[in-house]
Amino acid sequence: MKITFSRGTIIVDQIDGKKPEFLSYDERIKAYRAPAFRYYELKKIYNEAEDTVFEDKILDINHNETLRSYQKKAIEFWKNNEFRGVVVLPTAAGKTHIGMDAITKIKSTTLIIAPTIELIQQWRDRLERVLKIKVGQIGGGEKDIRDITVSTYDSAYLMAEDLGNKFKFLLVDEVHHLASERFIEIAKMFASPYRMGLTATYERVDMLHEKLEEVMGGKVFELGYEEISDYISNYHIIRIPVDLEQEEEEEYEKNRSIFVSYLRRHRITMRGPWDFEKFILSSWNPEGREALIAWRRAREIAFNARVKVDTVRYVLSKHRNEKTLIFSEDTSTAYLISKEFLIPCITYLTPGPERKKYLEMFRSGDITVLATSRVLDEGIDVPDASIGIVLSGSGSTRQFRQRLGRLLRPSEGKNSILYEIVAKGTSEYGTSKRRRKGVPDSINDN
Amino acid sequence: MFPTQLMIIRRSKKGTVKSLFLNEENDNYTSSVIELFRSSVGKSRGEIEESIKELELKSQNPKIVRAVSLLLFRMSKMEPPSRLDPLKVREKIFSYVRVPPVSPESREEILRRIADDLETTPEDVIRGMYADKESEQILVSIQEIEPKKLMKRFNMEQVETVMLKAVRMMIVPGNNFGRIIRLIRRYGLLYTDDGKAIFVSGPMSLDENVDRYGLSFSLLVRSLMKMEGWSAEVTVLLKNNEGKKEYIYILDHSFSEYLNTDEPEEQIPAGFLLSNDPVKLENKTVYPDYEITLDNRKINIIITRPRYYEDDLSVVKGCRKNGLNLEIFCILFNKEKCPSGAICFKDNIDWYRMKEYLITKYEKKNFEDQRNLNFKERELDEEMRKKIILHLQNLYPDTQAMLDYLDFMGLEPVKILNEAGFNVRWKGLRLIIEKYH
Repeated sequence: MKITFSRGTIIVDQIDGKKPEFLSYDERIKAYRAPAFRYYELKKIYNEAEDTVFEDKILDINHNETLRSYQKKAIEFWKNNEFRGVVVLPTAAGKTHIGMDAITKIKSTTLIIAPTIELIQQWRDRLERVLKIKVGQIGGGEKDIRDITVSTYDSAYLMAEDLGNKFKFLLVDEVHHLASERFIEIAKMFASPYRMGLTATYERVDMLHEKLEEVMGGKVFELGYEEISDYISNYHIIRIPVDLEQEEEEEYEKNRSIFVSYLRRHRITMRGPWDFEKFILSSWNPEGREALIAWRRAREIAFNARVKVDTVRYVLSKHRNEKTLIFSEDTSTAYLISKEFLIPCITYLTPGPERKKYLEMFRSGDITVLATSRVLDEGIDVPDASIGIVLSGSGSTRQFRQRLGRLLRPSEGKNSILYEIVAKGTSEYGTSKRRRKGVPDSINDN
Repeated sequence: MFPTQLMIIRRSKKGTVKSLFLNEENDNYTSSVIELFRSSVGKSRGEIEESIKELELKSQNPKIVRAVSLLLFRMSKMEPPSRLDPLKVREKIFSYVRVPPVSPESREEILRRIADDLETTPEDVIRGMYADKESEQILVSIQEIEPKKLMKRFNMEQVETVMLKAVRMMIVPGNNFGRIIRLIRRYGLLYTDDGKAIFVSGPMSLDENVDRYGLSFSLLVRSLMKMEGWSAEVTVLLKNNEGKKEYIYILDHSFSEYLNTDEPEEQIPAGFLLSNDPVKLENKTVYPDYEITLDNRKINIIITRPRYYEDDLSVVKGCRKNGLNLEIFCILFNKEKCPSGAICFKDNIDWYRMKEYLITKYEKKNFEDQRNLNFKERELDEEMRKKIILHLQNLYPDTQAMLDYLDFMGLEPVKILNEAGFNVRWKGLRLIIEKYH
């Protein structure tokens, strides 16, 4: 019996005894086939079979970092689950440390997957510094494959057919993304028997996180903010309501009413993202188009109210010299802020090398303010960023927690503030309320 | 191919889908969008997008306007709004501004200084700051195209967009059996057949309905549209109100009347033929891509990609064991690496080198006489011959320079190198030149 890897699947040439349910006979190749993630189970059943899936390689890697008690515990739980499973910890709790420790425990070929170029570059820099080895990168214009490699989700998805048997350990950062319909294929097409997922926000509104149980090994460890408050920075959330100018208000009302009457006429109720998707699907007719354009325009007015720019001006002058991140929901606002305050902005349109450069400038203090749309919401580690300004955002609690998390890396005497600038009398107010649900206004505030 | 949201289909209750095609009856869509673009020369992409939104509001089917506009953007020449290098402008600004200016006066002052450094105005600095952003690009001109041709492009892309959602396909190939099998293999798909129809899917399709092979299906259909007498039933996975559902999409050769199939047919040099006969092994049928006859021997050729090389090589070895002449070559794209032991070509088949290799392998003895490549050997007088030989000996061991020199002189390398005292042999597609000892 021979077990081989072929383009995201495992092929077994013949079966001795009872066929496992997950293995199907493939008439096209006259052999048995299963998605590659089943390799782990196949090995348990057919341990004696000739196996050409992985090239055995032991890496000589160690680190001198000290883990906090809960980090050690997380590793212990993951080990006890046969080196598989998801660790859920709040942002700034040091998930990267856990990941690095896991890599040195496995000591084999490892692929680290993260959602953005910033994050893979951050992983790469840190791994090279701590493990003192050269780390490969796939994504952001690079395709350098090494024993330890970082990749974006997109590149891992596109290259899963070729890379699926190159890494014994799959370490997935912000693993909640992996549960999406598209990215779950990465987990299925990689044969990696060892897997670890890291996230601060495991549960998804669409419940797709339930799929991670089968492909990643399920949740093995979880802690909340309250349990690690000693390790994160103090913070406060301050909402600044701003008035629209009269002209903006009229324009807002006009567009909002076009949108609302369309919804009423077509009996569409907006209860969640699914309803909005239904609205978008129904909007490809002149009437629907008008409603969609009106919705966009109203949103644009609320997001980009002229007075918001002046409020940013006020906050920046109040916190002069403090490291500040300005978040917006759309790229055009990020560019508007960049032009107004002559500061760099990072959006999905910013090329990889430029992104890296701006983040380095920000970390080193060559610049103190950075504007961004959604690309820096997750994972980016800027220990001394202490001020955040949410100029616009979605109603997602996950996004809000992630943005807040950018400010929570602890440092000496740090007191972080997250400002939310919200246009009064617009739907943005309700959005802000939704996203803050369950997030305490401050922590360590005795 | 269009983005999925621009796919325009009609769904039937029976679970089938049809693409919406443009024809003479609805050519107002193409002509109005062409007109909009013609009148927008000098405007930025962002401004044109706004005008497209206005046009969408007036149209019965806004998706068509959006999709046709996308085609025209692809055919447009755009230029940045400033002559300044945006990267340099940003570098200058951000290295200058550590703490952002909060008053308009300090902002003006900074911009004035940067403008002085760049020998321009503050307004130009702001214009140039993001001059590489797509929405800021200025429309300079659009490629002339007849509405009818634009409609055909639109239709073709609609078909391809639906095919991106394909999960499997049944093809009744007519007289194109071998050709279609070759295409299926070339696009990395798998198949079974019952002698009448071919059933196509991808490796992961066995257990799940995945649309990750959509691009391969789409390319396959693009090639099918150039053939006669075929029909296909495609299973596509599309979103509806309840989630994703399978639909049937029917295609056949008659669709090509409405589609743009302008892409040139594959050019095959003299001597080579598209292979029409499958090679039958004990329990397997192999469909080679090409064939060539050398020294009264038919040699079959398989063209593969690095990803499938190992699998195909085992088939080739099996055929050779059965006494069949089967050769395998690999095409590389971008920065793909040549699999170990493979003979690879970059981007396209190098027919010249392929033939040279085959002649060397199959007609060693008659090599010089049998060459039928695209150039004739130059007649050389004795004095010239001596000069060339001397020059080659001087160039040695820089073998690449020797080959470049012979190429420049228009000379067939093996014969003259032998005469000059060099032993020549092939290693893969590389010519190895060594001095006789």
